[in-house]
Amino acid sequence: MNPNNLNLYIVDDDQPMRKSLGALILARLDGFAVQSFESGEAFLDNAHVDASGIAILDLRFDDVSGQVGRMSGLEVIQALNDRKSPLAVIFPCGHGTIPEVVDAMQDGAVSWLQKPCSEDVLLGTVQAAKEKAQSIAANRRARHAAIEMWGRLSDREKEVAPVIARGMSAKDTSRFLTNLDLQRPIDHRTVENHWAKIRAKLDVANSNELQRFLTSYFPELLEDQSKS
Amino acid sequence: MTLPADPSRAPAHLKAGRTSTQYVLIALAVMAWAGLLAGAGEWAARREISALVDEVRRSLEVQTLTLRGTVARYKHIPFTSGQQNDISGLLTLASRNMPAHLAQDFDESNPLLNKYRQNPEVVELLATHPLQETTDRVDVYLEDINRRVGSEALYLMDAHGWVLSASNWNGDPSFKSDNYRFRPYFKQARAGGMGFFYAVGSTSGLPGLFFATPVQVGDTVSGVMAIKVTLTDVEKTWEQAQSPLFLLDKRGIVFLSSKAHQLYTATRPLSAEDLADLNRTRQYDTGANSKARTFTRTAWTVDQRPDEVFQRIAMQIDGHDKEYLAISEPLPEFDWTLMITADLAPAEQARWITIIMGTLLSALLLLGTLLWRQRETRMIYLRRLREELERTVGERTKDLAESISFRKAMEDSLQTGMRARDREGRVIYVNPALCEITGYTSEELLGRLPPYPYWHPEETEKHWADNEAALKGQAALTGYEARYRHRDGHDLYMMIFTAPLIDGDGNHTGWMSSMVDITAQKNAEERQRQHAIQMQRTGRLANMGEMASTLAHELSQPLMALVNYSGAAKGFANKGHTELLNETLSDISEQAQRAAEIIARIRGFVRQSTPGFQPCAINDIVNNVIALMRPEALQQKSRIVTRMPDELPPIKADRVLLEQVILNLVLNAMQAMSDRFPADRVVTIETGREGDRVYARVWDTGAGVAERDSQALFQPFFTTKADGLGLGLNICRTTMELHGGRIDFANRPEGGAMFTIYIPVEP
Repeated sequence: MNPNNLNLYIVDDDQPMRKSLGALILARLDGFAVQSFESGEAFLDNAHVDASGIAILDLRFDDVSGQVGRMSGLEVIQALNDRKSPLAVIFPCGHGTIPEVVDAMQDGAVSWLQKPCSEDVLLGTVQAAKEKAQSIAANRRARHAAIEMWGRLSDREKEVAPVIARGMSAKDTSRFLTNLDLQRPIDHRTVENHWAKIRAKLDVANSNELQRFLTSYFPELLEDQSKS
Repeated sequence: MTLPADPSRAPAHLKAGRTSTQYVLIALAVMAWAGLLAGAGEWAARREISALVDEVRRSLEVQTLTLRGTVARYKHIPFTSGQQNDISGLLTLASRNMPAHLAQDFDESNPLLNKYRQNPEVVELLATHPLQETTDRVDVYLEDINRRVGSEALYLMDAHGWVLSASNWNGDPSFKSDNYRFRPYFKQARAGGMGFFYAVGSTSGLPGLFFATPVQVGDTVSGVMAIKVTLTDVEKTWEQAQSPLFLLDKRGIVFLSSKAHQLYTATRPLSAEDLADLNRTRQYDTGANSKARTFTRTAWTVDQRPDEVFQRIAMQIDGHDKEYLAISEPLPEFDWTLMITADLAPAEQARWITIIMGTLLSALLLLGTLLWRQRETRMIYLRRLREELERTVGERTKDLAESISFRKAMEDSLQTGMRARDREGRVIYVNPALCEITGYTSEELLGRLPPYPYWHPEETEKHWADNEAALKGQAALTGYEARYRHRDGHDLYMMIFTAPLIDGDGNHTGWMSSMVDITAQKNAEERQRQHAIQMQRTGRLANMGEMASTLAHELSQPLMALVNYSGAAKGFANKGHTELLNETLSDISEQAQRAAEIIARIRGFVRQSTPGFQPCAINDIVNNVIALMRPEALQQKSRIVTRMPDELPPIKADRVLLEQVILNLVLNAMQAMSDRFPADRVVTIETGREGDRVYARVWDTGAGVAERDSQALFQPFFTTKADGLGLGLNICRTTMELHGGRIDFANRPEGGAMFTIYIPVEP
């Protein structure tokens, strides 16, 4: 198995469907490590739901004829969402309305697949889900890196950074922070020192870049500043 | 309830019959009151009297002062004027020349004889020279003084009482040459004292006050100077006084009074001695030749009460009997007594005014009291009446409130809706239960005329009819059912009982209806019925539609798998994975097999559930269907009408399948009429023979089938129903074909869809 292959999980309570879907993907697509599960529980227990990948969830989401005590597709999606899983989910469904709750799933990680469908549509959907999974993974990595970089800042630098990100000069920043907490006055030269360190640690060249960095990863910091 | 029957009888003390004790009490009260009035009168009188006494006392003081002033004014005139030289000269001359017989004493026991006026010898003597000259001078002198002093006369007497000179020397009468030795004042002065006397002038006849002083020549009294003063001024002021004043001498004789008729009367009896004395001194002789006189008693009656400082004097004044208050003041230096009176009439007036006023006041008081008592009695009566009324009202209110609250509790606890309407159908009352049942508030319902908001829109006709019947009193006593619609839109089934509403006067004012919510019961029945139908359909008739649905779902799985596998096979073939391709192809055939099995199951199911073809009568089959459909027809409020000739040839058919077909047609017919009024929902089933075929025809009164839909009616999966599968008619056609017959459709010219099935007659 190629370790770079993307995990693809087929969760279907119908064995021929599981098998045929697996065969189709194996025969027509490359770069996937396919695993199949017959129930949501088995999937959640055994799959690497915290790693990047794709899940095709074809479980009946009502209990009209489903077995009692088994998870429906929606419940599995909910569980994945709760675990902040980076999986991209494909959710085949038949006639009828799409449950609205699923729309609100994080990152828009769920794709719909109208059943019955041709092989090409199915394969296209899987391909699209792959890209989505990769983008989710990239985002996560970037976020992790950003958090790590931010973690390197000292406490005072963490206070200085959002102010600078708002485009304030060193003098304004020192005045602003001093006013914010009269017990801890700060000199503009000290601000300059901090700012230099921030640039180095966060790998930003100027306050614009700093602002973009914070907007992307720590928007709440900018909000807090503007509030106070 | 007990009310005091008559106000006049209520207070016992106002009753006509009184006890003697009460009379005595009343009499005593009256007497006490009279006494009180008298006392008040007496008090007023005494008060007035005391004012009068004060007045009299003041008057006494004034008069005493006046008298004393008068006396003081003249008292010393004689002495002063006697100091003139001519006077002693005259006296000396006169005594020297006076004849001896004139110089002797008169017999004092005969005052009349003693009086000697204008004695010619004396006149002559005085006219002799040198006496005349001196006398003239003295006369002028005395006259001058007399005029200046304002006395009546001033005159000089010698030691024997002869008037030598007088101020009225040329008057008529003149005192000159008269002799006044009989007068006490002369005697007193002659004796060397001060002479003082009040008397009626024996010459002038005018009363006056005489003062006399001795005139001494050397050591001997050789003459007396006298002055007579009238009390005219005093008398004049007295005359103006309203009440009489009296001046009494030491003997009690009135000698000065504002009332002339009381003059010279004796207020007390005179002794003989007194009388003699009076005659001798000629004190009150009013005429020169008057005889010895007696004194009548003063015409009054005097009443001295022990507790009074004054006397009461009753006398006639100006012809009227009057009573006076009199106070006497002794004037010891004159031996007089001054008596001043005041009319007691004001005191009596005050007494009577007080009594009258008091009586009036009492009468007013009594009247007021009586009125007040009467009013009080009336008020007590009214108050008792009011209290009684309030108590009664309170009791009634309590009763009413209790009965209302009882009724309210009863109504509130009722699960049954209550509704009262007037004769026009206007809602005049609803109980909480009805509001609860229908979801409308009482405000929304009260005053409403039909149609009521809770009427079910699909049954408006029936509601109108029921309503009309109810208002006509034709509603069934056993109640009738009605379908209502709750405000929130769900259906209600009510059992309604209506009874006439009769008011207290026996008038029929409206209708009272009680409504029992039988929705739950109805729903239970409905569920039961549905369940029964379900059982019939699935158990006995094996509803093909549902079966098809299940099978379709089951089939979708292998078909989907087939799609996937064939896609995979394509991929493996392209990649040259022969082994995988083979495996996939096996899977494909496996899934195709699976699909075939499912289809076989349908077959088996159908076969299994039917007992097979056998001869049967079409009418029996139709009747069977009608029996099966009865609950559904009731539910759909549809009627099923049949037109079936008795003699029809038998057919060879699978009873159950044929029943299913007809049942399907009837069901479709009923569903097509659901938007019609219940009365118009009629399904007609007609059977008959056409050549070598028997037919059964089912039509409804619905809207029919649109032209463009009629071509597709029997196609599988065609449906006009929201929840239909579109298999019913298709299966029907298949079934008919199975029986060697067919199914036709036509829209009726009158409206409504008509289906006909044809089955060949059994040969």
